[in-house]
Amino acid sequence: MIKRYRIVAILSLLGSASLALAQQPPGGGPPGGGNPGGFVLKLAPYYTNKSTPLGAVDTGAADRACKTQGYAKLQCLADLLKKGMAPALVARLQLPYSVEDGKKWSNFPPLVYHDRVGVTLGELSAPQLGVAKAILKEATGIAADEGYDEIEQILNADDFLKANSTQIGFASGNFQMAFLGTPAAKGTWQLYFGGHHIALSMTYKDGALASATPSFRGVEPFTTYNANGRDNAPLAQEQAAFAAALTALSPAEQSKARLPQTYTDLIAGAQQDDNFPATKAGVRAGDLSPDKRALLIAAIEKYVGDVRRPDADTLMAKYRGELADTWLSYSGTPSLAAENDYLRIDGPSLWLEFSMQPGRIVPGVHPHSVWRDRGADYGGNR
Amino acid sequence: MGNRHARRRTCALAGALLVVFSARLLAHPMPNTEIAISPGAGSVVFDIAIPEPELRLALPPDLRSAADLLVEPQRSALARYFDAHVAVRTPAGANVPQVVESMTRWEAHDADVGAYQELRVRIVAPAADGFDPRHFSLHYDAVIHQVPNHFALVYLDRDFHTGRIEADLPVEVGVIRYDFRQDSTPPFDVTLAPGSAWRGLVAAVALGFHHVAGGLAHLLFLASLLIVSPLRAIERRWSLFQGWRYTARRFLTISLAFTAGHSVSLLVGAFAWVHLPSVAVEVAIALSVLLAAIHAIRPLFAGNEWKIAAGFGLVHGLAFSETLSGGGLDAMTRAGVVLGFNLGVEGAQLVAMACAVPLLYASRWRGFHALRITAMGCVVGLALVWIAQRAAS
Repeated sequence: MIKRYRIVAILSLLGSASLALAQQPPGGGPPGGGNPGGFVLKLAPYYTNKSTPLGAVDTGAADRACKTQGYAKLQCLADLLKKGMAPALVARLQLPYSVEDGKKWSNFPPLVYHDRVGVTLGELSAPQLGVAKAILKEATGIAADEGYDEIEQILNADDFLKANSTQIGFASGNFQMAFLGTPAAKGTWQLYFGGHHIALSMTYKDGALASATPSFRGVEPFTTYNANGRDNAPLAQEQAAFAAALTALSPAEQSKARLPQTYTDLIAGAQQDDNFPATKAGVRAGDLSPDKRALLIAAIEKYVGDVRRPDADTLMAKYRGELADTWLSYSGTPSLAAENDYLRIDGPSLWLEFSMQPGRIVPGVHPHSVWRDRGADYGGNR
Repeated sequence: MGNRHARRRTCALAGALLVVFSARLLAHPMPNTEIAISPGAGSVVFDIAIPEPELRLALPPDLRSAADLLVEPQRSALARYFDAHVAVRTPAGANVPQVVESMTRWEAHDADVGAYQELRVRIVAPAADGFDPRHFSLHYDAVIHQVPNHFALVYLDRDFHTGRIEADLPVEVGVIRYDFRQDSTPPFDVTLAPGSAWRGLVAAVALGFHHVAGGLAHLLFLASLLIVSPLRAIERRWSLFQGWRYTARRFLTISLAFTAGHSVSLLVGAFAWVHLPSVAVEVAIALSVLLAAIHAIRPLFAGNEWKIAAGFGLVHGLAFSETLSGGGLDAMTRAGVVLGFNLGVEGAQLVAMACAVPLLYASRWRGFHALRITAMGCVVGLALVWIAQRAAS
């Protein structure tokens, strides 16, 4: 009798021991321990994960309420958005002017980057969405595939990812708008709009645009995708313009423009303000033929064109004036279509970077790009 | 947990380029490198985790395209690569010769990029004249020299001398990044708050004590075995009190057997990287409680309690070593941790045993049967709940 119990005891001991051993990971434990960079995989409650297709939003009421043009219209729309909005929401939309808050942008979805400011589109009513869309159109312009239209398509990409991935946090309704400082005839304020793959930082001073940078644009998927009732390819024109500028270079110019290092992302991306190289690399636009310079200008216009005219023209005039001393360089292949292909345009003021990266959710590649201005980022404030 | 405060105190790192992030700001533009620093008695252990795709971009062309970097001759070439791109220097600028101790592959996961292959490289800067493991500079530019947007987050992992000994999330202390303004990767200066071996030992004792005192399963297992120490199994039933000599002998044998069991596996677990999934260990511990409690109701292995105590002691010790696992502690420091931790465990065990003595005295009375069966019935129920809960997790 006692023997039987002994057997039971030994069996259960062996059983639990073998259970323990069977589940041992191959190769033993990692010397480095767990995952030190663990993320908090939790979203703040204002990320509603709702889809708010901006293409379907009507701006008619907002346009009728603010009939002026230019900055006056922007100021009128900002006031209109705050009017009748719940105080708790206004408190997150209208913040004091601060460069520190202006720097809280990222290419990441909200699941990875948590510090963005502003209200989300998902929190806005239909009339409020109309005003928000009118603000974006007034600030960034209405050219096809540029400015507002480009933004709408990048938001549609998030709805595409929402439909095609299990990861939470992708949704057009999760993009945020904030006024850093009060939009008024006098004083400094910044319009912030951003989210996954977008950062819009428009700084206004005394009723005029002081800076349109930093301005980040990226998109996944990169191939044309159908979302929210339309075909979208928001950065195809940018990639084509950059590739045209690079492929037009002669073999000698290309080898001069090629950087010896490999770039898997931007170097002056989010939270990397002022991370500009001390010396410029590549080919100097002043040494290029006029037709090659024209291609460079066309590429620059794809970014500066995300600002409403005539402000865009003013900025272009500045960059044209500095073009001779603006340098073009790249890494990878000049077609900018493959993983780790990279381009940089570095001028006295202008800074443009484009980086092609592997798809994170959708197989293929996806680009990141940033437009900065060495002197004028965040309105020239630090 | 008292060690939370200790953690705050110990992360007083300062350096020329030391940026202290809030954990929330942690952002990977892609999987980046992570360097965990564990200062020891005279040496420093660097556990470096590098995403393999990024590393390959930085390797010489012949190495870059090799199928497996961890077999020869690639392995030696890779070790030479790290020798060329990692250097530890004293504040005076003297080079501390370091050793690439191990290189393994690991499947890592990132919220933004998903699963990817990661190489884990352990580099040790051994004790040397003039080398202070709490004050040195790390010259590191692996991957970064060729992929300048890549960066390395630096963490403080185990630091025995300030009492940071538990397996826990390391504290981020800074980032090694290519500085485009300077066109170079600046050295990373490490200055750790002063500590002492005594502080580490005290922390290890406290950790061991709290681990048992706060671990009901450990206590109930031991209590269930000890409650029958004054009793004798007669025809499949427990007797009453069998005298102090009999009791003392059994009480001490069971306790010592448990101590021997968990000490051995704690030692093995702490030194030999026996890393068991904690779920399996936790389930096994719950099973041990169940078995001991059933035995205390009806004898299953009377006279052999010490074997069960020793056998399951091994399992309990594995749970202890889970607390101490990982991290790069040098052998001497690790020995200090294991010693202190075990002392703490013994202390808690002694306190529990002292509390059990009056119970043994109660085993003289007839009512003890009812008391024992009721109490052990509760333990059986609890153990069953634990088994279900732990197996489900």
